[in-house]
Amino acid sequence: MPGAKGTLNLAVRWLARIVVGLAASAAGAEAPPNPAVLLAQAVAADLGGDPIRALTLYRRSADAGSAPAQLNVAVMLDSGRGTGHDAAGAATYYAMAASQGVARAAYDLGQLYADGEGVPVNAALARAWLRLAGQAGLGAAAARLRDLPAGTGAAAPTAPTPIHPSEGTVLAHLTSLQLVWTSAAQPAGTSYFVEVTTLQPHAAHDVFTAGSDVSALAATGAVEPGRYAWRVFTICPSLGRYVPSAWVFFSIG
Amino acid sequence: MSTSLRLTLPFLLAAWPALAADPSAVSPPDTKPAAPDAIDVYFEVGSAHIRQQDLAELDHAARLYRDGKPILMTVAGSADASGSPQTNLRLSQERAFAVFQGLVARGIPAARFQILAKGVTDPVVPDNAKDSHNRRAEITWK
Repeated sequence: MPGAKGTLNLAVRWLARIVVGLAASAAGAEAPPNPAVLLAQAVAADLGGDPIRALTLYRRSADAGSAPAQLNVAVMLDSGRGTGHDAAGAATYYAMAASQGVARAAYDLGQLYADGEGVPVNAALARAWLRLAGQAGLGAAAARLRDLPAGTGAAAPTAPTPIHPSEGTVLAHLTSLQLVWTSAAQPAGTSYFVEVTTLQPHAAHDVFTAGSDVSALAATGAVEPGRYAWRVFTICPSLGRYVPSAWVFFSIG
Repeated sequence: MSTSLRLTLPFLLAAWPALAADPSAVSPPDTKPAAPDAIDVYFEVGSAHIRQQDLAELDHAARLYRDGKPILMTVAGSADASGSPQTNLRLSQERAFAVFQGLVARGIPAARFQILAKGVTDPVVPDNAKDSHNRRAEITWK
């Protein structure tokens, strides 16, 4: 049996373990998520037959910027395999992946816009996404484009709807900020213009602006921790009109 | 591109039905993985050309696939009993390959496929071997 000194040593060792454990846990909580590690853990959970845990990990990896994880989240929500069907959520994650150049995501999102699944019916956006998929090498995109009905444009432009980041979102530290919006059908020739403004820690000023024919883009310049706001415009040159969305406030880091 | 192209003989296909979907299976939402499923693409007599109306089936199948699970897509081509056994085996292979190409054109990695040519060995309408439903390619995943 250990004596009093041995008992004390044992207690000290256990106390040290607890302190070290707490320190490691605190450091882990502060460390930015590693999208690649989360993706590997997600795939392992997926293959292990635990789609609920897989989706949680895919989401964390996706929200930290992993394009493959964004596609996987989109497919799970789109197919309803392993989780409930969520077409709007699928459209958002397809858009995030597509904004990072994932051709398959662009192709699938084009279908959602063509059919109005989880997003408004918008033939122009369907065409734009399918065109991008084709340019990225997806052979099926050309046939899908050829078969797509022309669709009818709206008489007057309307404001697009910002989707991601949504109001009040706190994003993990990112290497690329994906901005996603949806839009109902617009007059022919309409495009979109995105504006991201920093609010803190710097004085308010635009940190990213860009035009787009599709409904998502990746802003690589606006990834510093801080508070931001963003909005998106429809730009309709033929009518000489533009319509902004409301500002959406979010934080990074 | 490392495509697993495999021609199978009838006696090797005994285990195949175990991989096929139970169309009556309805998985409870939100909590469990969906039950194995299958999508069929049908063909005209003597043809391995994917009809316009079946392109949507390929889109549907492609939107079910993710990196993770399912990890393997199997495309199994079949023929009806018209024509010689050699012709039917070749036709079933061509049908499976056409569907495989269609799915790859939709972004599914070619390395994740298993392609089977089943000839006339797995008719869905065995009582009428020339039934149009026997001219198909079945897409499953696991």
